Amino acid sequence: MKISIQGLNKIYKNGNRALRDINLEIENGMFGLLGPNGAGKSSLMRILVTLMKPTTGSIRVNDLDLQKHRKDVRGFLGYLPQDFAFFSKLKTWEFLDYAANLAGLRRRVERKVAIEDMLENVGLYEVRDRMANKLSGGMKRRLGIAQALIGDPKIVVVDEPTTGLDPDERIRFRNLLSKMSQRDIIIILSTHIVGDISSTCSSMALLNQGEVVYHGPPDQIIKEAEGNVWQINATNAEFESIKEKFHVISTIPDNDGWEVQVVADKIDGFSGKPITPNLEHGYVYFMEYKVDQLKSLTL
Amino acid sequence: MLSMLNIKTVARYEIKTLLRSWFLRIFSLLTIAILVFFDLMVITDVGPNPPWMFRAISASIPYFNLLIFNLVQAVIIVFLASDFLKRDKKLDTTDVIYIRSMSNADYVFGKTFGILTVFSLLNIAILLIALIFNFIQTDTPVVWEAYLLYPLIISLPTLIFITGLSFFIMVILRNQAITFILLLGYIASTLFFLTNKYNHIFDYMAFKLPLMYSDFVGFGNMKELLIQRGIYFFSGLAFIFLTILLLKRLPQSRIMTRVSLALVIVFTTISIYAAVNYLSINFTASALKAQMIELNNELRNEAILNITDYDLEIEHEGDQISGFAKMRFINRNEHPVNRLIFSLNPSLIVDECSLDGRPISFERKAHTIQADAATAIEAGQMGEISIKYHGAIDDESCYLDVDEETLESNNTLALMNIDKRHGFIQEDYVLLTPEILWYPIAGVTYSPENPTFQNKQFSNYRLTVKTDPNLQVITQGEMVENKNGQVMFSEKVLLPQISLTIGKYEKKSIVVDSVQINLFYLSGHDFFTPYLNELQDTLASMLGEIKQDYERDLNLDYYYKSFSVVETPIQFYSYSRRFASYQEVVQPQVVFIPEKCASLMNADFKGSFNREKSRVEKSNQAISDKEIQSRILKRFITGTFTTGFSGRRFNINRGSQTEMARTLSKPSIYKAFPNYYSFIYYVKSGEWSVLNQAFESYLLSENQSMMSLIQRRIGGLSGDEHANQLLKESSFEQILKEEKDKVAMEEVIKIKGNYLFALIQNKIGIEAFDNFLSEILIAHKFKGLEISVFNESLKERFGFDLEPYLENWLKSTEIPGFRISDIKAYEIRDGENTRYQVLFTITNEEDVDGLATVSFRTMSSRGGFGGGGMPSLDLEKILHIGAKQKKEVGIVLDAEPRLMAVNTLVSQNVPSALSHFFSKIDVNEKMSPFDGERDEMIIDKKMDDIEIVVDNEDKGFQLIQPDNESLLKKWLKIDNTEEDQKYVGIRFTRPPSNWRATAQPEFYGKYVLSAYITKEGTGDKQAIWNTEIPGAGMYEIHYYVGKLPVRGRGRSGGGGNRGGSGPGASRGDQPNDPNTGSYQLTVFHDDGVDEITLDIAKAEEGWNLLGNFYLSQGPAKVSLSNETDGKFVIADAVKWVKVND
Repeated sequence: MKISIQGLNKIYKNGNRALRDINLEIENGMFGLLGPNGAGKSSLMRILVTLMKPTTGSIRVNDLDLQKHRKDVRGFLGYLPQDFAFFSKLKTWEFLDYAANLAGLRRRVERKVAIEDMLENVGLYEVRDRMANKLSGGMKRRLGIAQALIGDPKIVVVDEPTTGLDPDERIRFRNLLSKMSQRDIIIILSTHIVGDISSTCSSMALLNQGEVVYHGPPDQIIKEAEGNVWQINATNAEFESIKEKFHVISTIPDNDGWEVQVVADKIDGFSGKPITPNLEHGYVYFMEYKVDQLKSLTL
Repeated sequence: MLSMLNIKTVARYEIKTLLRSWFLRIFSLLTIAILVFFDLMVITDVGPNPPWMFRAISASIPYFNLLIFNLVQAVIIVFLASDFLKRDKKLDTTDVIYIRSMSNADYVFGKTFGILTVFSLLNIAILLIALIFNFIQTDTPVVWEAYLLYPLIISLPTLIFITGLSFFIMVILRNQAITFILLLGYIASTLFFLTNKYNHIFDYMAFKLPLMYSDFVGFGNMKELLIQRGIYFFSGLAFIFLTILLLKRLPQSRIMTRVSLALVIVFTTISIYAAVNYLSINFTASALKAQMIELNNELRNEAILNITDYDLEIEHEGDQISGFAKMRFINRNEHPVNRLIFSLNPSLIVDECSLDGRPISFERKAHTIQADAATAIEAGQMGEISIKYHGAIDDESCYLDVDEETLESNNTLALMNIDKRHGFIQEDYVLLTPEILWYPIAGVTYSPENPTFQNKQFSNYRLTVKTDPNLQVITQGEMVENKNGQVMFSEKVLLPQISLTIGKYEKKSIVVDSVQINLFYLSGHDFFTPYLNELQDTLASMLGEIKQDYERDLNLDYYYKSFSVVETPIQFYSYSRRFASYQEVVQPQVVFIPEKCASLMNADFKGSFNREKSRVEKSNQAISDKEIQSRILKRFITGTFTTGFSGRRFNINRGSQTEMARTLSKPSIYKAFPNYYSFIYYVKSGEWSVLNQAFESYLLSENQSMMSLIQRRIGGLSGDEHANQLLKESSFEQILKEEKDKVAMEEVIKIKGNYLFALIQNKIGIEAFDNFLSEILIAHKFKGLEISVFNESLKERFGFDLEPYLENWLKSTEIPGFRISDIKAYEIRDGENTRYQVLFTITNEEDVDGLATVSFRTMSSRGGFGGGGMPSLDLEKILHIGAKQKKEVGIVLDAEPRLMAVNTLVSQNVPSALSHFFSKIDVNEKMSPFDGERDEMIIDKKMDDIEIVVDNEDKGFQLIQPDNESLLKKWLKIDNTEEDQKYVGIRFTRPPSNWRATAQPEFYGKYVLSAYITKEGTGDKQAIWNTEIPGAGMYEIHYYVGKLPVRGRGRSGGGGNRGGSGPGASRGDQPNDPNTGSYQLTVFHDDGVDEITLDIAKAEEGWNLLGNFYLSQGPAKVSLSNETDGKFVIADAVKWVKVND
């Protein structure tokens, strides 16, 4: 599978420009879409899943133009929107059955097996007869992913899937996606939680104010941050000054004061040691330093 | 393109979701529960007095159930259909469905099918319930086709349309609340205002569409129904396809988008085409009628030939007839006739017209045939005209004399609507009455330029009918031949008109007084025999008794050899006429009754029998089943055909109390009377054509004064009073031409007729006139009595010339007003005998003469409240009271009077008939009998100097009330029939929120005994009596309290039965006594303002002194506030009486 996005722009009727000239190539595997709230992730997702038209630009899925071949593209889509909480009065299995039916699983027996498998996979088998509305938040997300994955979709788009999940569920969820991504399938994962991407995605894009500011493997972002992430042991007085000067990523109180992690080119006047960055550090470093640089370059 | 699998999936889950909706569950269950309860009460014998209608017309069971359910489902569906899009918008889970590979059409269809499936199931459930009740009620056969047709005609188009419309509006507005309000508003407006407009074109729910299904003819209007329902079915489909186009989801099938667009156009076009077609039916009919009226106006003065013999040959095939009418004529005009004018139903095609065997040229314009005689037909010349014609009939061209509003009004029984048809020609059923002009008649029909003129001729009739030999042919006269499917009838007695009925009839006959009485009923419609089975041997004598009683009352004879009662389809409808007092349902020798007597009172023989039986058993009376059956049948026959009053009109009018009072006095429209009078006698007069009806209504009026008394208690004005209100404003002539309300017009004709005859009776004597009238009528039977001949005979015999009075009778705009006072009765000695002297004074203060009849009910009067019908009143005297005349009247009776009724006929009086109950009659042995009238002086006592009365009818009376009528009410014009009437019937348990005038005999008034009433309030409403005080001085101020009758207790003989009450006991202490509460009156006088509280319970009946006050010359007033501790206040009259200077 291959998705190629070219010159994609979306300007809403109120003049709000959600996407600016997006160009992306997405191939099999997990693709992470990272960005702050309002960066345009959901708009891009909604265009990808045919819920919305772009203003200009094109998306081709396996060389099929998305606008012209909605029927075909919808045939291999699975989608989990950001908000997925309100259901009509259907039972868990019924909702899945509805989705499976529309996803093309026409034969009853086939569908039954697929649904039961899926319910097992997402751990909802026990609650299959419960009304979908009565499920807990985590269960609803799992039902959401289940309906997105049922019927063997070739492209799965999941928007902020782990919001509100407890750590256990989040891990389970990531694993499920990873397992799926082994097949000939594209999973697009949009999130503002960096951890979701670092553990699963082979490729990612960083979106900021409607623009792709980074496209590539997550490792590259981490690499860029190397030498720019520091751990400082600070007193209370120093801590106040650090907060003003640097981008603080984490703070842990210790016996004498605080153990603070910051992103900075250098930490003049404070004693600290550089640490090995992770994706989160990379993301912050990129957003704080690189984006500004990029912007000043384009200006 | 469409994927059935997708549609099925979406539909399946829509059904699941809908069935889980509490809104739907509760609404449906509630409706089902209500309908089950209703069915139980009206269809089965469980209810106390189930209406006969539901069991009589079998199809009414599914019809009623579906009609009510449809109303409910139309509302639920608005909510649910608009809800689906709202849900789609609100539910984020919808997105995951939207991204699936299905076309927008799949999705919308799926949703639509889901909704339709659920509602179809509910409809089926409702029909099953109806069916169960239908089965339970074993004597009501199941009409299977009704169970199939009603859902298709009522529910399906409603469902498709409202679903489509809701989808569409919701897609456009994307706001469920606004959609809901908009659609409910639409539903309400179609239900309340628009339904009747343009022949129900806006009635998408078919709530008012005439859908009653007859066993004779089915719907009878299938084509119209299909077009009307088609409008909504197809526009619903157009909306659904439009929703596909407008759905906020990116389409995926270009073909389907184009197909949808094409179908939107196609369905919209079909729907518009149907609507235009539907409207054009109406417009074409209106245009045709306008043309017919124009022609009638134009040709009404053309000389017409007198047809002496009709020889008609009619062949019936399918929905057409072909006819050959041979008419022997004589030119009774005084001059030759060149142009021959005939009228024939406008949709019948005239093939040939010939005079004395030679074809003549003719022109066919609308209903007229205008033929050229070639050579003039001389005066007195006889000859034969024949007209050959064929075609279908158009019953929309009937009733030119009926206004649009009346024509458009619904014929509704228990919410179910019945089509109004005036004739039928179908494969297995034919019903043709003269109104439909199924055979040619000489001259034209109704012309508004002479609205009361009736073109009546008496002819010999011979009719040959060729039809399916399995069908029964019913017409006037005797059957003289019946072979090869050809039936020939001939009548020796001259007839003014004939009718033709063909159908699968069965016949029951009995000979009564040498008249053969036939009952023709549709095969399978014998619902009566099992409940009248014991009467076989006594039926003839019972019918004979009824007949003789009726004839004795009318003082007229029955001239025909047979009398047939013919069952007709429930849709057969007739209107009252401007030119006749009878309706089309009555024809010579034939009365057409509705299908299974569905709308007739007392027709539920089974129910009546069971109720009567259980009553008899409860009271341990020894009354046999035979006697019960006899009572039931007698009640039905007299009620319908002889002395009864109409039950049918209740439902046609809007049922307000005032209307009810007026229509109560309407005789049943099925009365045999026209067969005694109208088809035999005819008073001819070009100019005074209304006289014919005046004669009829005079002969028909029975117990009128008694009726008036009873009506007064029910409603506002009685028919007579209503007529007088009209006569106060316009002349009789104007009313005849302009009054649209037929009931009102008939009332006016009735009182004017009675007035005219009272005038003659007053001059020549009551008995002498009655004898004269019957003699002269009989002498002119079957040929018509010229009014000039009548007047000449009157002059010759009694020296009384009516002519000078007629002009005034027709054109006068003034009417008298009477005051009746000093009513006294004594038991006196007249030689050996004990007799009774009644004395009273009657004054006419107006500038025109007037008449009043005085009737009595005495201890020896016939009838009584307990017997059959009204107690009779014996007419004793007719008084003529000149302008500004006062008379003392003395009447001597042989029997003790119980009640005296003075009917003021044409007068300003409300009540127009005064009744006086004689509770106690003193013995006066010295009094010598006085039977006559003594003139008295009207003493002009310059009352203004000493006594001033301001009544609510006077100029000085003023009402203050804030305009608190809600905008919605104004807008909807709810209850406007009541608003139009000045005097309204008041239910004292529910007094009006604004001041309303009401007339009751207890109130004060010069002629109009009325007062204003309003419900208790905060003092925001006031009644004010203003006057000018002529000279300063001390005045007594009185307030008039008219004590209202206590409900459920008679008023006669009041007083004596409360003799033992203590001082605290008053009328106010009785339950149901409306005379309670205290009134807050304000008296304005020289020393300031006095607030006076008047306790109504303790007040005297009549004038109550409020106090003595000093008043200067100039304006003075008293006011009454609506603040009271009772339920209402009544503003009547205030009196100022000067006591000293």
